[in-house]
Amino acid sequence: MKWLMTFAALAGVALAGQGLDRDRTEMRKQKMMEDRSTAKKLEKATFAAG
Amino acid sequence: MDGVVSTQVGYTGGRTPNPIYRDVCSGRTGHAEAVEVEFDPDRISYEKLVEVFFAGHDPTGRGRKGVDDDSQYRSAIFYHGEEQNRSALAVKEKIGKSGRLRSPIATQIVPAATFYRAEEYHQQYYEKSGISGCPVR
Repeated sequence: MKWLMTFAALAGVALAGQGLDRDRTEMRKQKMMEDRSTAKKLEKATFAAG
Repeated sequence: MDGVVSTQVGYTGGRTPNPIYRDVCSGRTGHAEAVEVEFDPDRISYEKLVEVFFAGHDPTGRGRKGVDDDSQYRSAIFYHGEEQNRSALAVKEKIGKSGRLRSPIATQIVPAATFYRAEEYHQQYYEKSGISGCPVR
């Protein structure tokens, strides 16, 4: 039983770690997509006024 | 100005590739001294920028030297795409009909050409020289 509990605890930590990694990857992806869409949205205007 | 992401000054609308300030001042390049504005259209419209442009100088060129067609000091809008062209023409017409100006608007509205960034000492001139009172920020 002790072995099982240890195993469960280790597995839990590992799964939680994977979850965090997934979250971080998702956040990075989202930030990249936001950056890209902002860059796409920008426009240029050119003026001369002496 | 909210919605304006960056600006740079330079030379455009002329014939000479890679001009420097001295070339442009010679009057032989055909380039105008210009500002290129990068903006977010979700936060500020192109029409608003054109209105600010017209409000910030005398577009009739009265009393100014060198406002002929290819002077470095001419008043001009270099449009990027047909939509900007239509907007610029509409704002110009609206201001022309408003009766605010005593002479016709001399501002050229022409397609954007290659923009050559000016020398570094011309960039952000108001900030670098400590001059306050620039009407557009």
